[in-house]
Amino acid sequence: MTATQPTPDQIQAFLSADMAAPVCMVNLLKFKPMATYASDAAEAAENLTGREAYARYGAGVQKVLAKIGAKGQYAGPVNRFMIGEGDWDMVALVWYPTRKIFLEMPQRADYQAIHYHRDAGLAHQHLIETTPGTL
Amino acid sequence: MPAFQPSAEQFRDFRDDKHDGPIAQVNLLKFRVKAKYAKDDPEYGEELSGEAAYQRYSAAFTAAAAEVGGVTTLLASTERYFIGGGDWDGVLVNHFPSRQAFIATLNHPDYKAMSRHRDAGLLCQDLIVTRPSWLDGDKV
Repeated sequence: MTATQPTPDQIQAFLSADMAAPVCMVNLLKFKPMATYASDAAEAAENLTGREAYARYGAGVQKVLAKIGAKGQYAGPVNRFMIGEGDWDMVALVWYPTRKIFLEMPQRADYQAIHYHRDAGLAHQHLIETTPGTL
Repeated sequence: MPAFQPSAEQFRDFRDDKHDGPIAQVNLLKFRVKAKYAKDDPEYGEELSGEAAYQRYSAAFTAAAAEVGGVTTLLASTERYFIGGGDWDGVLVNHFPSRQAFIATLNHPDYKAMSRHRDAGLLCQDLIVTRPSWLDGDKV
């Protein structure tokens, strides 16, 4: 199942959980070979790869995370599968002090201003909601 | 496609990779419902979840990895998938200063003793080798 956004059911399930509890969101990312910016976007002429476009989103998100008390804990390009197999290009872990902060982030103007880079670069992803330190 | 061990080829490719530098090992984990120890393990017959058995492994692994500069940065249980769908029960991320340090941990004298907990608790996994580009909010 490939997706770039949560379904209404997934949002509903998230909302039913403890809004005050911390979460670590585990991103498994697959990029488009070439970025697909809108034809009127300034970046359309740059011929960026999907990875490069997403990196601009990532850099922008890091700044937003710092403002809301969340943290981009880790991101790294996939080198290889050592056990099992799959087709992800990058893994990124983002820690939020509360679910509420995660949920409110997309409503911020500074987040919305950089989101088009994600649309341009991302083919699809898994986003696994985890509770850190519980295992 | 999840598995339990690296194939011979996967291990060789990892070992012989010329890249020299830090790596982060991302483990996507599926546990047995109940732990399944072997007959000659001291824990044989113990009533335990697969997750709890795996925790014993990961605690011992983290201690062994620390001897060569390895650090566990995430040990987390899955609540749900917020985007996409899948069946992993947990995520474990271990950082190593080099691939040699990871291999040294697998060759640790205690590894055989600790891996019985992995065998008992783990059903299958993906192990994704990544190279750090961001750490704690900073580009590396």
